[in-house]
Amino acid sequence: MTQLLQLSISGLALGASYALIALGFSVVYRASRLFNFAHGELLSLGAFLMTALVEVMPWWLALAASACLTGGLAALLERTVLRRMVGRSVFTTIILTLFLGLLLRAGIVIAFGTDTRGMPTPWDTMAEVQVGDSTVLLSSLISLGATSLVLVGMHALVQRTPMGVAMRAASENQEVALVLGIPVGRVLAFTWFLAGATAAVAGIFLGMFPRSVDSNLGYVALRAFPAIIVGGLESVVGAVVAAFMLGLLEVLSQAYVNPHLGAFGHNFHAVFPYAAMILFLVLRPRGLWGEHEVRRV
Amino acid sequence: MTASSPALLRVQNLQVVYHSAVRALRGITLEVPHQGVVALLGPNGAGKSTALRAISGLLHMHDGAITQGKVELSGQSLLALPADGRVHAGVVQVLEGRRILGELSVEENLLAGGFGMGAQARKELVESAFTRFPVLRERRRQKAGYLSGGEQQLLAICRGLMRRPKVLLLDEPFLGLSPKAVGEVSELIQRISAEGVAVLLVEQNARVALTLASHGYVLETGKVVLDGPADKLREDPDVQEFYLGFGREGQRGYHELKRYRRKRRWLS
Repeated sequence: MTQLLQLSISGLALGASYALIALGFSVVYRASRLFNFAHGELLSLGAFLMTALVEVMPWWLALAASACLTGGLAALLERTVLRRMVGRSVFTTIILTLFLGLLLRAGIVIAFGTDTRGMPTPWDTMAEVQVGDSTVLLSSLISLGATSLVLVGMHALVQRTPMGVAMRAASENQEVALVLGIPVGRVLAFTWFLAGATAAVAGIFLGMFPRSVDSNLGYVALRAFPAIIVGGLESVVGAVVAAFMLGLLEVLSQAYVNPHLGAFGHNFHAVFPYAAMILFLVLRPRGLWGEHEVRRV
Repeated sequence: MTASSPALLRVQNLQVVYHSAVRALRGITLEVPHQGVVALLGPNGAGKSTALRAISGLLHMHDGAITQGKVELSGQSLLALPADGRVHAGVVQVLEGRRILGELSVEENLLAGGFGMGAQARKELVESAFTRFPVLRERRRQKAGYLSGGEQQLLAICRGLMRRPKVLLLDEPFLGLSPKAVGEVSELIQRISAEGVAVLLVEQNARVALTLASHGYVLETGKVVLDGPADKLREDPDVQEFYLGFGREGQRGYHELKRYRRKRRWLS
């Protein structure tokens, strides 16, 4: 029982980071109608920037700066490259974002090298706290809290502010948004900024002990992919809920599936979410919260 | 319209090409005065929506471009402004097919129409829309996609009014509406016009359009073939026959069709 609680908390912490990744991926899809396969490298960039910036400024400031810089780069990519691709085939944009991801990855290796780095934290990196009668990593609790806070903040921004209304208007119909006087270009850039910034935050918390920051961190975004599919590409809430479930599944299957089952047991947790995704797609192709378009004829 | 009458919106010799190949407008000229409704009539594909897109700056969304001509608001050219800039300048279009944002609530649709305005001003304008149509207030939290067709069109027009436009461009606002809704929408257009907003009304339904308008233009294959005061157009035998649907007694003889063609040539 104590182990289950422990695992659940670290599963939820992982799920919260997946949720941030899924959120960024999903808002970009809704706004620009493209799959951004460079999203993972943005996350990786955020984490590397953090490890460097923390040397020269206080931790919280470094966190904010990494998020803003990564967001700024995402907005720049949208403005310079991806906006021209509006209306092109899905295939074209996928290849393009894959390529941008590769470029970013190469840039990261050139700038930061290939060494594995630990993510510095202002608290004792390996500190544990007592929850009930089990011990939990302090980092897990903080990352669960911080990422949840960012998720709630994003939700409030999108649902309650004029900018959020404009974002939703632009993602539903750009032409309508334009005739309403909404500067669609700026709204798109802002959306990408948010996606990049949240990816950086996810990367920073994913890089914390017991994990670390290396040039393969970007692949984590692919592990959040089932959450996006299961949650429904159109539904941000669905993607977030699915991401939490995914984090739990991953950690629990890692702990409870016997690793000595030969090929089936070895690293089974890595494929389990994909198996769940495929099963889910068979049963509910629209996804968990896949939205029906509201239309009245 | 005489050259001396002060025009709010002036379109001069406007030519538009789609996909760098298809000529949609072949030099049209029209004027909208500071007050009143101007109707732009014509069959499908005549270029009515193209004209509106050129005025509101949406051509690039459809791979279209202006090759020649002017679009001016109070003497100032609009062509350098992007679509959202033209909205801020006072030219607001209500798109064809009541394109409300179905996933947003009724209130959010109105708020989206006031993006970038002060919170207080937005609130007041939303209130005034609710006062105009209490049904919108009742359903403010519902997804706008669940409104009836007529209500959606009223919402779309009220949303356009959020900017306090100088001129409102309405693209086929009566399309697919019930007779009752047509009545409501045309009443709203009359009220807007009485409140001092100029209206450019694009319609295939010439009967309704010419009762609302003071002046009308008839567009065919990218050219203005007829224009004049609305009551003159209503009397015009060609308009009666081709747009109002009550032809002269007997069959349309070949000779009459020829007369119509000849007249189009003279006018264009």
